[in-house]
Amino acid sequence: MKSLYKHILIIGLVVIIAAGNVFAQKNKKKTTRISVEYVKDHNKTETLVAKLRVKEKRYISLNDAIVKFYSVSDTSVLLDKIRTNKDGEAIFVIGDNPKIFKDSLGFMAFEVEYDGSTSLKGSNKKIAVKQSNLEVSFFQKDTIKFIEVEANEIGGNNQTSPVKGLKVLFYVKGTFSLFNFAKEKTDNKGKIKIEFPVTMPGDTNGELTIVAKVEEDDIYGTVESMGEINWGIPVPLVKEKQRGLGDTDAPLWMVYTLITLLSAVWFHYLYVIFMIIKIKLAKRSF
Amino acid sequence: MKLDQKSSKMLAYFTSQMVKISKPGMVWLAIAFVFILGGLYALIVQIIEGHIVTGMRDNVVWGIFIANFIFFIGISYAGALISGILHLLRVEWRTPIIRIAEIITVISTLIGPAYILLCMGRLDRLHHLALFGRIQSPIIWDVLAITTYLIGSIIFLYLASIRDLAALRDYPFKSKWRNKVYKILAVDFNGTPKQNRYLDRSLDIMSAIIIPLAVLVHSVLAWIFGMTLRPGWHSTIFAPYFVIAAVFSGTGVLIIAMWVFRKYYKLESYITKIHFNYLGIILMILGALYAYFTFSEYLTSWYGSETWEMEVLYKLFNPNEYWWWFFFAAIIGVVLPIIVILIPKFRNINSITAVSAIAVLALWVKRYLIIIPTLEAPLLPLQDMRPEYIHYTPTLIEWLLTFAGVALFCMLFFLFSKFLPILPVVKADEGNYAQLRKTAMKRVIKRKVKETEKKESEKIKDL
Repeated sequence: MKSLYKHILIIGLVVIIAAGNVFAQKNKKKTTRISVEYVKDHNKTETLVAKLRVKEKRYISLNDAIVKFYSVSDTSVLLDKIRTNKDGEAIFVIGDNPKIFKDSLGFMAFEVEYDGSTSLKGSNKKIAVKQSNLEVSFFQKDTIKFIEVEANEIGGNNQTSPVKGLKVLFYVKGTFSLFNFAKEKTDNKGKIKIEFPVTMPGDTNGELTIVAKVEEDDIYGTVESMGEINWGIPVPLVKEKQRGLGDTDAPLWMVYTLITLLSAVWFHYLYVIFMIIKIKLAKRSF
Repeated sequence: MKLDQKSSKMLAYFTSQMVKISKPGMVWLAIAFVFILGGLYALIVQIIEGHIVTGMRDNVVWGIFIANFIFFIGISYAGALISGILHLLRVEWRTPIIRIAEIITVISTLIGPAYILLCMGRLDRLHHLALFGRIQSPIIWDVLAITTYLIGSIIFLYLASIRDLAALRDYPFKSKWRNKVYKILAVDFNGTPKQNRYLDRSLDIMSAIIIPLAVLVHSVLAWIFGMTLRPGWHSTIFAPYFVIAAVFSGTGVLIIAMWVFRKYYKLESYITKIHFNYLGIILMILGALYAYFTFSEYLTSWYGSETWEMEVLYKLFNPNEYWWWFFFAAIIGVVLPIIVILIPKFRNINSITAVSAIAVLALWVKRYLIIIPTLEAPLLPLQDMRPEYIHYTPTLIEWLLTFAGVALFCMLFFLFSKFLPILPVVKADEGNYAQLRKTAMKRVIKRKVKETEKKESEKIKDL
């Protein structure tokens, strides 16, 4: 009897624990993570790029989810609600939005927020950035060619001042990606001067696109600027070989091959017909 | 022409069959005639109404007409390769089957290209093909190759029939036209050693020529597809794949024809189980080769996973689209003949013929699957989304013309057997031919010796 009670007790415990697990799993929401980046591209278009991820076995992009963008000061003002794309990104174009608050030092504070859903937890992230400009120019001194970059920040009253000690990366634009060739910090005047890489191959005219980039800076975010110059080594286009098949006249090898093959076959046909005539003529010869 | 006892007996038997048509034969002819009439009706409708009466549209521009064309050109291989190779190798058991094989070649090469004409719009401009044809185009290669092949096949069949035509010329037919035609076609052949020598030499030449020509014809046909940058067609192995498929289907049709004529003309003592077994084994080997090519073709496409290729493969492997057709064409039609022929217990005349029929049908379906799914997966986006533009379905007109082609093939075959014995009656005496060569060589040697002696005697006289 004691043994029976013991068994019933064990089974009961197992059922309770299992049921608890089932309910716990049912209510457990998946964790999400949101990140935000300020980007100013070479067209001077400013955007906030929020990236939303959900934790499965690892963090993966969450698409088709609504992300809210706020301008933060003493109070938060909703700027927009944007749906994430297939890469889990929601991109907000800042532009001249009057709702965006800028403090006396020129800082803009933003917050991005994902509310979550029945199966996903919400998440948010704050960011404060200062607007800046990068300008790329080229000059030549004696025989040496230089690239110059000037970095300025925009203050609270829209006045510009040079940025000192800002790390700038230099790239050459390729067909598919950017090729990094230098990395320097700005001087007291907010300028960098580096020698132009004259051995770099350009297009047919030697044209090169030089990109100067501040990447994920704590204050200025990502800022990009570019300039074009024909100081590269001209690379002539590879001439496409002409195909005879599209022309009015066939390639000669094809004509000769066809004539040879057909002649060989038809010669034998004619020979066989000649033999048939010989058969007819040979009727009396024994 | 003098005939031995066996040949005389065969000639008497066949001539008696040739001048009359039995009741089953009449029924058979009537059925074929009805189908041909149906085809004629469809042809008239198509000419009057235009191609709108077919399932072909802007997107799927080729339909079962092209499948029929490839199918008929494919079965023409039976004569070209089988009789050509067997003749060159002097294979003893070939005699009862080569005539059937050669007739298949000629008739199918005549019917096949007619389907191309059915596919074409503006037939009034057909002569432009000759006037403005560009030899860079595989279509022109095909026209040249098929024309050359057809003429070669007719010459080959004619040469192989001269001995029988001579025997028929000497046979006392009551029909005047027969006597006249046989007299013309027999070219005064009397079986003299010289005539035999000329004939055998011609046959050897034609057998040797017809083999590469047949390979070339089907390769050119495959290149029309292979040289096109379309999924499912652009393949380097398409030419050998087509050649193997053609010989496979050709052998299948040959076995079926043998079975039909064996039954109809009661030729059990001439066309024996051995012939079916030998051809069955050839069919089995070809089936295995064909299976290898099929596997190789689809495996490489699938492994490459190119988007366009995959679109066609998804269609072929989708049960709601072409999977069951593909299963029949690529698996049932190949595996079943191999199993039945491989296992001696299953192997008999009827079973070999039955699996040959399945293989032939499977090969027709395969040709359909080569054309339609590819055309239903265009590289450019579809402009017109009407269902008939996206999916091809053969119309009644197309089916009528297809069945008419098959009926015409059967009818011509049957009528041909009423004009010429379906088996060669007069057998070439290859032993004597070898003897003749020896005799000729002896004569040449004797003449050379005489000439030398003469020269020497003249020299002595001069001295």
